[in-house]
Amino acid sequence: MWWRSRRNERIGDEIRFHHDRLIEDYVARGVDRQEAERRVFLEFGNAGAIEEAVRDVRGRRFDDFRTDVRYALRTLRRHPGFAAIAVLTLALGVGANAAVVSIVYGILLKPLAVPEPHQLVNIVSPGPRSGSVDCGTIGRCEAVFSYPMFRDLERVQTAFTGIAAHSGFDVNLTYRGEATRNRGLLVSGSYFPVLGQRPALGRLLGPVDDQAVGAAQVVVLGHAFWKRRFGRIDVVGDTITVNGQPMTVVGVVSEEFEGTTVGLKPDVFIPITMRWRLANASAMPPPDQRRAYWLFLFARLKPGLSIEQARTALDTPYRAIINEFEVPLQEGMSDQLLAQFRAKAIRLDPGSRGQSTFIVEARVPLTLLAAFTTLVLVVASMNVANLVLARVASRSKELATRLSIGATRGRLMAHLMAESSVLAVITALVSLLVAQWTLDLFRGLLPDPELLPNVETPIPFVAGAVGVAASLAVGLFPAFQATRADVLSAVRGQPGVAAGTRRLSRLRRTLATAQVALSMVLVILAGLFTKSLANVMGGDPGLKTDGVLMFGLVPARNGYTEPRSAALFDRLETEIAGLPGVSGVSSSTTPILSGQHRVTQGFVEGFDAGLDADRDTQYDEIGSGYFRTLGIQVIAGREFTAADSERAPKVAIVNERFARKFGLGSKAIGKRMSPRTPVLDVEIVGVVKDFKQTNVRDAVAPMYFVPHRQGTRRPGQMVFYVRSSPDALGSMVAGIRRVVRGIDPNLPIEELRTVNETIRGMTTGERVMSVMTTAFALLALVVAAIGLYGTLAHMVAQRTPEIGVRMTLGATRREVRWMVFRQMAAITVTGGAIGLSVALMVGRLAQQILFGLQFHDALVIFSSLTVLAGVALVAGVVPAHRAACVDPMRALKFD
Amino acid sequence: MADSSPKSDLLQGTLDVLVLKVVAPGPIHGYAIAQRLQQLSSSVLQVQQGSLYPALHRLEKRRWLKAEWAATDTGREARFYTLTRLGRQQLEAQRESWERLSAAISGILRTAE
Repeated sequence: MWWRSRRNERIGDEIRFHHDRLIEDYVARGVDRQEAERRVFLEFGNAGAIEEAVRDVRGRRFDDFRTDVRYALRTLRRHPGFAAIAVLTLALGVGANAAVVSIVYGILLKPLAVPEPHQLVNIVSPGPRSGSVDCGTIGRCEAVFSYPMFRDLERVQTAFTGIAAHSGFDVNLTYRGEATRNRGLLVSGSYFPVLGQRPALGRLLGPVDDQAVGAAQVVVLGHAFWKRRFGRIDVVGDTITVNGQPMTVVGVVSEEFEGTTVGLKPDVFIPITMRWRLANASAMPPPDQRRAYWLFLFARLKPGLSIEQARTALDTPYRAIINEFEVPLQEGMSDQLLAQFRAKAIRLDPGSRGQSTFIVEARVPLTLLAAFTTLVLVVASMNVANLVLARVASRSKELATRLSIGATRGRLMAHLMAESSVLAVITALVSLLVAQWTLDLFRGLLPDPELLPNVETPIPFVAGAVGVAASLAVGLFPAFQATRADVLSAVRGQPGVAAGTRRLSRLRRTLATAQVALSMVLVILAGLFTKSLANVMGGDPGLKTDGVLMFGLVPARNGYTEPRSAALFDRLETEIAGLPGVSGVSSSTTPILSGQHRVTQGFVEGFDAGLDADRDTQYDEIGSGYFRTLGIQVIAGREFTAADSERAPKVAIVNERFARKFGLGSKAIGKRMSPRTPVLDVEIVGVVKDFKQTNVRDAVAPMYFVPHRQGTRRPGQMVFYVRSSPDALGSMVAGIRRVVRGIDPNLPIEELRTVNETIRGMTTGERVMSVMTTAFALLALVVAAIGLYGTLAHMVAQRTPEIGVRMTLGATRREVRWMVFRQMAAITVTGGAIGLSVALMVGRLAQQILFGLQFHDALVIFSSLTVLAGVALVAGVVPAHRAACVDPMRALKFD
Repeated sequence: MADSSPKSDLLQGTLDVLVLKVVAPGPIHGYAIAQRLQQLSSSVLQVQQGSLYPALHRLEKRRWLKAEWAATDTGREARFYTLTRLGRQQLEAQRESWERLSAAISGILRTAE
């Protein structure tokens, strides 16, 4: 232990003892004390030097380091500008990285908070599915299974400790008179056992809870929801109304468990068998329907089994079931499709991160973002290296002096490293702030903060580790440089002065060029993402959304019958229309610009393109005044009115693209059409201009609309649109809430927001990339500019005598200024060119998330180059001016 | 530092073996080691403190010596060195090799006469 050995060492004491004894001996031999001291002094030499020699033998330890640190702190305090820029630059790079690494980890890499997550596998079976398919956030449509298939697989499987099934299920919850809409998850009884979960309170769901349809009226609460809604009080045994159905709370999941899908944190877990009690039963395929695909499956491998072994073990019975039971059920399938259906096989994917489409969607953007922030860190590190180099150059004399009075190279290195360590610690702390700030920025860009899983944990660790590593690396390199013998001999004024400093200058110039190149890459990428966002937002969607609010109601969940729902919708529209300031109210069954659409087959009078013709068309069921309320232009005919009721003749409105696809040309009005079957019993009464109904990104699809009163089934859910003046939105929101509460206080309003907010929610990916990359690119550019400025200023200082000579020999100030700018231009052009070519390589990878532009977009590249040139000019002005102001007389006297 | 003086041109490594020899009888502090070396060599060898102390600490670091603070007869604390078992083996080995070397050198010097 160092303190013990240090106490034992007491090198100074030991030598002092020797010294004193020598004197005493002289005195004992009769020498006068003063004379004895003089002799010993001559004989003994420098006691400090002996002590140092002993220390060299023993090796340096903590006390040296402490001295170094104290010295480093003092040095940094003397140069606060250097310290501030170094710390801020590095903290920017490190903090941004820490945050992004945490985000990437949280979303893409973090395994589920369950025991042995690597034993989990997701079960999918790609191939055709005919019937109803229900998929979404949890997984792709090729991953869903029917309920009977789940039960079959559960029964026949031998390779797993269990197979679990789950499906997302939004619910209306009422507790003590307050109604909210919440995220639910229907889970099989095996769900929690397969995951190996323990409750925080009460019990979890188990096999007893999914034996018979509707039997177990129990729910388990998500931990975050329990905390938020119930304030952590013990609610086990309480009754909570789910979709109008009283259910008993039996437990709460553990705090770490956030479900098995990134981006979907369930508030309540409900037995899968309650689906047919809680949902609008008539709209729900019965439990034994094999052609209704809606369950996601995962399983836990038995210990020792490989994925391939398990796959084979499950595939054989699966294919038997497909061929024996399911093939006969398929009607109207072509032979080719049926062959594909028969060939469907089981595939097992690693399931340690659960099932989520969000992971897949976020992979490319997040990876790019991580690469981006890494580059920012590199630029920042180079800048700091450059700063430290400059400092080392200006301190060479001091270092040389220390070397010549006997400090070893190791001591000097240790000293410079101590300075780096002090910077490292401060940097790590500041990085934490930057990381938090980055994370807040990111979270603020998400439509729903819950999309971001808990990511706080790794941040301090990452920031600390990266900060320390980066600062040390940054410090080590200049330390090596600084202690190179020739640099030092150079400063001692021996031959080779020029060689040493030239190496240093060249190094600094290379660093500055690299910084310019990298920031060029960042600026171009940020430009691409920003233009992509502008493209997404800027294209004319064909509707006027300013001042339009939208919200949803799902009375079916609260047990409303269809006629009761219809009556509710009518009353609601009338009452909202009566609110002051409302200039239009309408409704549709599919929310606009939310990524949802419905597809069917269209049959149109006069359109005969053969049996196998593509008849796909999107459709929606809408209320009267829909197009007026959303600012969509009706080109021909009319829009729906209250007169288009259940008993009135069936009518439809089509968009331009529909008219084109089905060969209607300009004579659409009055033609007849029908969905699904060629009965042609609906009359087309209007044509609207193409507008984006599903997504601002996708091209407009052929689409027709029918009044929801004439729809196939009276809907149990509806989305409403309310147009008012854009500055009256606040009071409008309050008015809408009041109206709904007045009609039914148990009915939660879903996602009341402006249509513009909905659009923003749809463009989260573009927004995140654009905002984050732009912020980082600009900061990197500033950092690079500082680097460039530092290099030029250094060059001017180095060449002051030379400039003096030149001016004495007749060079004008203009020429001197030009000399600096030439240097600047050399760095900028080289850096810019390298940056451009790197950006073109990296941009190719970004192509798939760019909307409406190529990665080599000329405008973006040109603007980036302009920005770079401008910044370089600014960085060059001051050094150039300083060079031009050199006084030849003083410059020549210098040194 | 001053590692050479007119009187003490010691061969590299010689000081180490001399120190081991002097320490061998029992606990002894640095000052006494210096005195004893001078005395035993009839003042031929005068070891500079600048060489002695680094040597002592080097031997301690090699675990040939161990050191402890203890009171001297005058009551003042000093650092006392003793030989470890390893040190004793080293002393033996080095003495043998030294004797071989000096016999060889003497032999050469004698034939050269």
